[in-house]
Amino acid sequence: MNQMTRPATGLDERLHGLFVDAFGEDYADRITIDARMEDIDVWDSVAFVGILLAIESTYGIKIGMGEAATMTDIATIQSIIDQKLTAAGAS
Amino acid sequence: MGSAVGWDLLAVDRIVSAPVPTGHGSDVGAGFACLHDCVEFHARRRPEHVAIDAGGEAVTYRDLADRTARLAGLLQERGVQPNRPVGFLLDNGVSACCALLGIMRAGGCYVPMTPNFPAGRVAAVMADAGFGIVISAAAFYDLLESAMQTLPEGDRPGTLIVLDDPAPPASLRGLFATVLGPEDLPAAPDDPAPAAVGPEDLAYIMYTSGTTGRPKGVMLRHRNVTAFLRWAVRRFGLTGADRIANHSRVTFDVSILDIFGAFFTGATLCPLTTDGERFMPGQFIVDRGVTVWVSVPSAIRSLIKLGHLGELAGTLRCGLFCGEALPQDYAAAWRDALPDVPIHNLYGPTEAAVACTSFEVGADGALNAGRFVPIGLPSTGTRIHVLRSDADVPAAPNEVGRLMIAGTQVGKGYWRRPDLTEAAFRVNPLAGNGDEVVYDTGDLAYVDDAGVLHFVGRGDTQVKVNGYRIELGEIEAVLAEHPQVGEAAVICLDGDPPVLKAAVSFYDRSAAAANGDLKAHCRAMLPAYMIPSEFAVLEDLPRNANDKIDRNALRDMLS
Repeated sequence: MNQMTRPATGLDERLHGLFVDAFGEDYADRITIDARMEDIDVWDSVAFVGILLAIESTYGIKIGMGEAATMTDIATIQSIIDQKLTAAGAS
Repeated sequence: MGSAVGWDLLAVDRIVSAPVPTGHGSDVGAGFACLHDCVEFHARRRPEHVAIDAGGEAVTYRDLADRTARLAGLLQERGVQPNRPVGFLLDNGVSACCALLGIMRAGGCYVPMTPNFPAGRVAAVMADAGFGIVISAAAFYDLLESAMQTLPEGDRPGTLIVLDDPAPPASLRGLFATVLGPEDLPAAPDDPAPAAVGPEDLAYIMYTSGTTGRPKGVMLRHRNVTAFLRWAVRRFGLTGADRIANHSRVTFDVSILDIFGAFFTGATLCPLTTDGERFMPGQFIVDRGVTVWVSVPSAIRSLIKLGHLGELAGTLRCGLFCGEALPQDYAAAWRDALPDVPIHNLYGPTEAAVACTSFEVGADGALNAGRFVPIGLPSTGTRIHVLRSDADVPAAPNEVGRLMIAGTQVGKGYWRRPDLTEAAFRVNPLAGNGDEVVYDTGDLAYVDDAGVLHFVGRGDTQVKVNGYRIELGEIEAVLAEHPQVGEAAVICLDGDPPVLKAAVSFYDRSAAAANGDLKAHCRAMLPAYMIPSEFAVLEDLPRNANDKIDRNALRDMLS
């Protein structure tokens, strides 16, 4: 199982890094556990697909179609990653 | 609210018979005289059928016709006339459909604006279109106010109609001479008077990117668009049992295929109303039981890249892609995952009513080694000419030439821009009689040995990014308005998706505006899809031997 570093923001540092890679350093401070799609103007469909693919390869998980539809804020994305990693660790 | 008992009388004499030969489908059968007539027809034929399923809100054809008539009544009271524009600022959904139908039912032509526009672009459209009435909703007050504040008083619309708020704020009452709310809408008439509008009148003015930094309005008549729809309904087998997705925003003319493909056939329109649904449409398709998907190809990038396409089997029966070149690998992925679901590639500029050619992958030809799927064969009533680059004579088979469109779908030209109209809507050099108009698309294409059209690219600096048509000159003009910028050039680098990059030089070379300043400057004037991802600050832009900006050198520098 992947070990996650979780700073005070509640957002896994690797996940934060994936978003910074997608949106650029200018957005580093705005990528927090509370951020939503509508808060970040560069969170478009292209960036979104790139982020989901990066999540799949970084964490070794598969994101389902129904899950992808709900991943419109960072808290939900973090939660889905956590659940999948926990399930993988338990199996 | 009144009932729609009067629709019987209306529908019959608003239907025309319009058989047109050639192209895909030779018998197009009956059609409607004007776009909005279809809703009144189905309000009579199947009043309780759901016309729009917007998730939390479902509207029957009877309700839609009543709402349309009420808004049309108010607009007619306010003096709307045929061929006069009426604007609306609304996102996709029931209200936008009511607005565009109501405007046309009142006799006017609609000018759509959506909340993904920045205030500067809303203001630019308002100023250029010059409409006196704008329709909107409470969710967009801030955007409306910002746009109005940037306009001189003479360019501001005088009347605002708010569809969902009986008490609009005082701040808006200071910007508009008249502010009307839902309580001002009249009751739906039991016996509505026929609309004083016909097939030759304008249905809408759709704004597209313009080279000079000023968006240009493309004028389409009802007959241009109904001709397209008569062909599309038959070509793609749309029926009243379909549930058609509305992914494209109402400012993009692909939305006409969604909205009126549904309303012409009495089907149900399923608008995507959130960015989450637009970006990840798979679950939406399944949850809403969408049978016909219509979008730019890039809208299904997520489904392809994440391997979700196959989950749509059993729900979708047809995929229609329009607005940008369809990559062969997208079509191949579709065929692998959904072998029983036909996939069509449509081509057409806004100036020729949504789409005027199509290619069904498999049925019209196999995928080949080319980068993009062919654009196929012309629609009924459309004639495509590919002319040699150096003369107004037909290009030979497989020779790349300039793509020209003639026929029933060619629009009226550019709103208040006779110079641009004259340049692009030319006398057809091949018609012989000198009175047929041909639209010069600026696209490059060739016809293969089988007579199938292939899109090659643009002959100028217009590009497509995620389906959005962008004139690089418009971005350059906006950048040049930055007080520090001396010169600006924008290029589009190939990729999936293509990437916009800008290079600027400053008047005062010691003053280095941060990347963020330039981005913020662009954000105030341009939609997000037109904002370059990178800004390179150069002492001087590279020049070629003719002292013009050397875009090839720039491309090498920024790649």
